[in-house]
Order: sequence, then structure tokens, then C-alpha cells
Amino acid sequence: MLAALTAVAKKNDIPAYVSLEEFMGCGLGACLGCVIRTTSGYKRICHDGPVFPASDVMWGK
Amino acid sequence: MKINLSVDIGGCKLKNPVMVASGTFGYGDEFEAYVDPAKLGAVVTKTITRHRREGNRPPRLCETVGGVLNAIGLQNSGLDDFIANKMKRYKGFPTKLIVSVGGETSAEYAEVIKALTSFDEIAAFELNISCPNIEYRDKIIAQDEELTRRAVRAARGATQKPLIVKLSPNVCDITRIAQAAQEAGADALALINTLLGMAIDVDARRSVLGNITGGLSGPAIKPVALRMVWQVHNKVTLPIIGMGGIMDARDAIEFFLAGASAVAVGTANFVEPRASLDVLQGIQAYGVKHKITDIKELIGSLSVG
Repeated sequence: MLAALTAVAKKNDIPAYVSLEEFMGCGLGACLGCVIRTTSGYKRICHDGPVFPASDVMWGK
Repeated sequence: MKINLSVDIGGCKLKNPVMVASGTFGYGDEFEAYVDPAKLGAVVTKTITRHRREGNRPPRLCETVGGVLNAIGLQNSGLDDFIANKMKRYKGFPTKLIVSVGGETSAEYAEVIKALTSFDEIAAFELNISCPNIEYRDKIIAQDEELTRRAVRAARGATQKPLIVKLSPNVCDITRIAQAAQEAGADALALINTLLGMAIDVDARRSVLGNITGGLSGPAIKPVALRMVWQVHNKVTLPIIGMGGIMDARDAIEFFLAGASAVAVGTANFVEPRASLDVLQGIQAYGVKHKITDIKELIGSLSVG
């Protein structure tokens, strides 16, 4: 759903941010368990997010 | 009555026998708000490799009954970044710092250790030859006696510091690998790493983990870990750091009785970031209750008569 929204936002030139979730281990940025692929590599959802600029997220990668 | 908690792990003298397991505590500073490292016997870093590793595709974690599956894939920023950016944070580190080293070849282990061995901040190295989440010709080094011997020998040649070798439970007879590590010059053994496993999402008909398989940790694997510590303790003379599903002090005591000289808390750090300190406190309380003056009285004291 967030990926679809991101596409809509992009098409209409609307700035968008997404709040993400993933299974988490430590929740402190130590275990690298909850990462999401972004244009600048894997980011920790617990520590670097959970809110990311939608255009940075590489969905399904 | 104060119990003497100090132990000697192959020349690495710890003020107490409670450490944190590699990969569950980052590089130490992530847990700063919860755990004062000065209180721990040692901190073991997340595994460092020669080159930067991106890690496995997510999802990387999944909860299972009594445990956690993970397939992080040794994500780390590599040796050069570790030296340039992380080592300086360890100046005056208040407890023993053990650096976990990973690699795909013996030469890589030697290269990383050689580059780090001159740092006084590092008390010992832990050789991670048992990560189940990287491919080494479809094998884990610690599944093969000869590969184990080669990796340990190469690492041994690169440092005078205590060398701890971390073993895999994904073997038929762990004592053979333990003996190979001992013969090749290991100073101590750490066991166990995670057990290979998987979980499937039946609606999606896909494996839950991006890597398909992962390593199982947590209370579910404690009986396996205990059995292996007991077996290895009876076969080799090296000190053992026992780990695998230690959630509280009673779990830790089981490992001492089975033959471990120290214990490492891993998955429990994810449930309660202060778990390692709770384990330490519980060991002290057990000592008082059972009138033990030295933790060494417990090590391998399992009664089998």
C-alpha cells in the first residue's frame, strides 16, 4: 500500500514520507535486524527511521 | 559473603564471567543508555570482516516458538572503517573488549587480525567461523575439521592475543571440531552459534526470511547448547564460553555446571537490554545462597554419579 501511495505521490509531485515497520530485535540500532533497502543502502527502521522520505525507499528489494 | 567471580579465558582475565554475545550488542555504544560496560566481564563486538558487507535482504528476523531466527548476513562496514571510526571510541574502554572477526578465507581472518592486534584496547579476538548466514562454498567453516584448522592456524599466526574460536552446533560431532581448534592453537572456545532453521509464511507460500534460512537462537536452543558444552568440556582442556538461550542466572549456572568458564548473553538482550546485568546479579545471589566463595567451584561440577 505504501509503495502504491509513493507512486501516486511521485506522479503528482507531492512530497511524501512513509512510516515503516519490520520485525525488530534490539530496537536500539545494534542488531541490524529491521533494515529496509533505501537509495543509500540498508537503513535501520528502529534507529534511522521509522519515517523515511518515500522516494528513498526501494520497495520490495 | 563476596563471591570471587574472576575467570581466566585462555589468558584473557575477566572480572566476572558474564559477557554479551557477538551480534546482539552492536559495538557496545548502542546499549550505553541501559548497560554500563564496566559491569560486564567482556563485550564482544559484532563481527568485523576485511571488506564492507551489505548483509542479507530483509526480512532478517522472525520470532519462532521459544526463539528467534535471524539472517543478518554479517552486515558491517569493514576493517578500514572499524579502525578509522570505531576503534577510537574504545580508548579507555572500562572492560575487556573482544573483537569478533569473520572471513571467507583463512587469509582474510589473518589479515583482519594482523591489522588489529597492535591495538591495546583489544583484549582478545573471537574467531567467528560459524556464521550460518554467509556462503562459503555452501559450508560453514566450523563444519569441517580441516577448514577449522586452517582458519585457526592462520589467525594464530597473526596475533599473540588470546584467540577464542566460536563453534557451530550444525555438526554431527562438535568435539571433533573443538579438538581441531585446540590443536591449531585456539586459547578458548565459544559455543554455540545459532542452529540453522527456517520459517514459512503459508499464505504467501514464501520463507519468512529474505535469506530463506537463518540461525535459531533463544531459549529453544539452550538444551542443545548445554549438551554441546558438556560434551566439549569432557573432550578438550580449553576454557569454554557457554552461550545459547541464556535468559536468566539459572540458565547461566546450568552452563557453568556443564563446564563453561564464562557465559554470554545474546538473544535475551533483545527482550531486556539489561539482561546481562540481571544474569550477573543472579549469579551473585546464587553464590550467596549456595555458599560458594569462588565461581570456579561451579565450573564443570555437574554431578553425574
